[in-house]
Amino acid sequence: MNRRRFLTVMGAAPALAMAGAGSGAAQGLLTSDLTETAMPLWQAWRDSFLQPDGRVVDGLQRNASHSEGQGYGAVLASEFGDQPAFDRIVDWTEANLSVRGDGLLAWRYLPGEVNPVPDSNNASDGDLFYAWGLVRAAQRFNEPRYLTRALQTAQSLAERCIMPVAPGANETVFLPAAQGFVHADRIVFNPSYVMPLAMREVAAATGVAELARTAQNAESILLRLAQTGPVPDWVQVTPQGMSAAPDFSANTGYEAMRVPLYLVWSGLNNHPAVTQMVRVYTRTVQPGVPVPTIIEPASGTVLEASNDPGYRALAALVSCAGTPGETGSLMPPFDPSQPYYPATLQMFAMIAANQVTPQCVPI
Amino acid sequence: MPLFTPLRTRYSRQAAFGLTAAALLAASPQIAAAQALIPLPLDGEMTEIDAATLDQLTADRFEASSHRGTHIEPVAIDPSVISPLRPVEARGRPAGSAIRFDGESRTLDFALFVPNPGQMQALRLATQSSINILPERSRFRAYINDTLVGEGRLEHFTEFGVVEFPVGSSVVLPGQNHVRIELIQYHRIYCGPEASFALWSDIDLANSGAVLASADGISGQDGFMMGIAAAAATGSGIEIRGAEGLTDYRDEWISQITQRISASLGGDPIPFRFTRYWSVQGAARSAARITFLPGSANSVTFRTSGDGAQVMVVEFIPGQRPTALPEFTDILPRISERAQPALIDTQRPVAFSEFGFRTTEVRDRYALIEQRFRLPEDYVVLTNDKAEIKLDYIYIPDLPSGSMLLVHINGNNMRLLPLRGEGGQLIEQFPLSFEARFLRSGMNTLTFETIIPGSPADLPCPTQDAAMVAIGQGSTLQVPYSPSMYLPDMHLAFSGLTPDSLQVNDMTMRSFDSNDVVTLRAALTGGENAQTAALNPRLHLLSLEDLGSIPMGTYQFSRRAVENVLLQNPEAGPIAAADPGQNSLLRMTERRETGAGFARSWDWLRGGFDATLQWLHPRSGTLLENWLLEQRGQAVLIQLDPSQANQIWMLRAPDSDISAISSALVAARTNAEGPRGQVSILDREGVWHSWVAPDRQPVLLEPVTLGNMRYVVGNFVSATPIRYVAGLFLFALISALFALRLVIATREHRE
Repeated sequence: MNRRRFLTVMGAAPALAMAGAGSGAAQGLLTSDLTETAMPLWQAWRDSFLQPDGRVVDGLQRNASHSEGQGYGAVLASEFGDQPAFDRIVDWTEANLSVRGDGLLAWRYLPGEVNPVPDSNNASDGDLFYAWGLVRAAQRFNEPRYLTRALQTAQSLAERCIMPVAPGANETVFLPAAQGFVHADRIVFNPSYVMPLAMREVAAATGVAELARTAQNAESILLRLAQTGPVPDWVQVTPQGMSAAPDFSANTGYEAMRVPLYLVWSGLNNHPAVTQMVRVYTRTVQPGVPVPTIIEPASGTVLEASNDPGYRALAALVSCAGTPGETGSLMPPFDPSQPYYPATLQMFAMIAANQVTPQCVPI
Repeated sequence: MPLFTPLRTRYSRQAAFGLTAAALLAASPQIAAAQALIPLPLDGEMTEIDAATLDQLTADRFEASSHRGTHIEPVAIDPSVISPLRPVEARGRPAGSAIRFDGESRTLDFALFVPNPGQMQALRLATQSSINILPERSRFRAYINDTLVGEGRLEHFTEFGVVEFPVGSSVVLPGQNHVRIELIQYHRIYCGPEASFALWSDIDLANSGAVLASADGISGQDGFMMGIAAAAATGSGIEIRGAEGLTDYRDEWISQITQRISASLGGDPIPFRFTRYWSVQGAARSAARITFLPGSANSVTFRTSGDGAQVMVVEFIPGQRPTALPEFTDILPRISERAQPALIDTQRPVAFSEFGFRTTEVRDRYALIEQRFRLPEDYVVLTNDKAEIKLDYIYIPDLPSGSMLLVHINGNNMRLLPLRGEGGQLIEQFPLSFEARFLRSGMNTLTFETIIPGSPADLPCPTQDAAMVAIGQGSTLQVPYSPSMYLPDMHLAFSGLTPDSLQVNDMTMRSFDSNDVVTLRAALTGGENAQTAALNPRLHLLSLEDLGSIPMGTYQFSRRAVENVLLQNPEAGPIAAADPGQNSLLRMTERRETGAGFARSWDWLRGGFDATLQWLHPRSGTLLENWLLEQRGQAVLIQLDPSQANQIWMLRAPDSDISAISSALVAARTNAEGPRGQVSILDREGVWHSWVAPDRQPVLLEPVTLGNMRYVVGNFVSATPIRYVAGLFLFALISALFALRLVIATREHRE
């Protein structure tokens, strides 16, 4: 079964069709090879956040490393065709985070601690991006061994981090981790852990169809969540239905800001979750004024803002991609002096714009 | 009864996972074929985690994810922005963001863009002064649109200090405003010309200008012009983004837009630099940018980018020539013109006012007043014909002894006028005749220099509100007739250069990248002499490796001489001669020369002979080589072959700043001395040093008539008099011999 046929079966065709529409609406700007047009950005990111041993460092988090960062780094390295960097990332990750035995990664590494990996629980988004990086690298570098490793992760994710939203229900949900989020009275999940494009590509490459099906379900769940406002950071599913998880974070913050990014990257520019954030950004983002990073979804009140260029880039991408007919975005230049997280989101915003909405190049 | 079954996932499900993976591998030939090179860790036995521990670990996870950026407190945000000042005249040597006021009093004019006057809060000036300045009496005044908005003291000596003058919206116009800043500076210890030289104050342009309440509402062409002023002040230059999409018509698009902007700006040219859409933030933040985007129609819009840069977005139809940008033609306001000085008539008294001189009052102990004017490009007087200034001037009584007014033409002192004896009386039409050979075709500079010693010199000058000397605009200048002639000089081609004049070849890029070429082209926009531009002048940009392509005419110089100019550190001396100790052949030569006394005598005789020969028939090549060895600079212009009078070749130092070179080019065509003669070097201070070949011959451009014969012959003879003297002597000798032979022959006949 070829990839397109497989994705059609798994309901991915709409997403790809929209992605194609995005490219078609580029009004002359086409997707470029970022290794030719943006290599200095990757070099700057790599120099700032990737250690020689392959550890991606989050300076704001006590110089910790996360499976998320390793996964993000793997995706970036494969995107920019940097196999040495990719191999370093994978080697370090396998040596330090792949301690569970099931192919999933421990979510955090704390340097300098007696036990640098105190919690062996995983973070499903880190695993997903790690697998996605492996899948892309396998194709880009023609290395089948990467695909073998991706299969192990995909299979474990399907087995341990995907479950029905209710017993017997067809709709599945992507759990944040293998442990800790399924309770007697509710399931808690993080909408920003869902990256539809990554789930579909990993599913297509490994044959783990549950990932693609869950991506499709997640889009539907996000659609429902976005009916009343921006998608919150954490969501709980109870017998009464789906709502923000107040004891986690009911705000639209550093977690949920990735939701519209991933949707745009997946070609879902017109998804209501994107539209909701376009409204927020249209109202709040101005030149010289910090960009909101935490919003109270119901009122739209800005609770926290930042001048990190990555957040501004994210807002600019969402605003441009989510506004029909918009050409040229307000993404700032990449600044490697910003923290790891906004810097990485800025790299993703660039890749998403390049792949899906090339008309949204920075002016 | 719970609806959901608690799912405590056990870590050890390896058997099931292994089976599933094996099944998948079997089902997928691609994966099955792969070698599993990445080993999984050993399957350790995982233990169940109790709920309390798990909750604690999960809480850690939320804590970690709640701080992922640089949080900005709302109260810490100052939304105000600065719209910087833009000097309207080219300085010739832009040095960072500071503009210098030197001497005892100085006035400079600036453009200031205020997109929305309602947001104007204040005029901010950041100043730093020389320690020699007496702060109690040294001050500055700032005017906006001729309205005084504030007066401050010059009292910041160790670092820039900021003063803000509140400005109401009624003083400010939307868009372009005129700002004038006047400085008066006193030395804290001494008085007199020497003390005057030690006085200076800098204004930091990047931090001086209109304080606007916020960036809100800053857009459109005024916002873009404000961004350009900021780009000039900060030195970041104007970024050109997305030009690679213009493909075949890139140069046409870039030229059209950059030259239009450059023409609007006037003053110092701003460097342009190309970037891609995806870029890394550099040290200097972009303030102005031109971004090309493919679209369905050619159009221009203005937006504020995410990094705060004011952006002119140019949408273009891919694959089409830049036929029309309807909005662009009149969209940018014109700050100032790059106009050449006025052309004056010959053979009649021309009032100073006709070439822009306005009655000038001097309050300083030392003042240098320069006025440019132009003579026709075919003006050549090499004889001792006289030009005449009839000067109107006045000075106050009882000026200190030694007070004087010096009059210079093109840097050559013509007269010294003592300022004594007639104080308080208007001296009208005082005749000052000088040799017209000091005048040149094209641009000329008339300079008045006043020197008034301090009295006493070892105390600060008294407050001087009244003028001490004044020069009237009714003064006249009369220059004599010149036949239409041409003296080989690069000025002719230089004054006519246009953006299209720039020529590059395959090796140019070794010294000039595409950013440099665009910046130079933009700098050559405006200010050209239409008459000489018609000669289709060319400026060839060369790399040092391509030195051999320069036509040398009858001159010569070595590559080493040019490298000495461009590759030497300004602080270092000339390239050292080879160390004799390193070369046995040289040591032998030295021994021989030092050992033979007669050899030194011979050298002396030979030197004298060479000097005499040089006087009789100058060998320019040697002179040029020697001159070059004494120079240091950042750029060299060369025009050695008189048969290619419309061609100039340019070289630059590897570490030179293209914006400084561009600025010097603009200034040289508008308000400063420019390159002259056959070789001209731009030094690191922005001053041109020119070498004029002593043996260059005038070229007559009109028929010889009875009316012009005397002048034509006079010029030819004056160019190299020794040749004509020798020729006439030879002619006389031959005539005498012929006459003698005739006499002898006649006498023989009689016999």
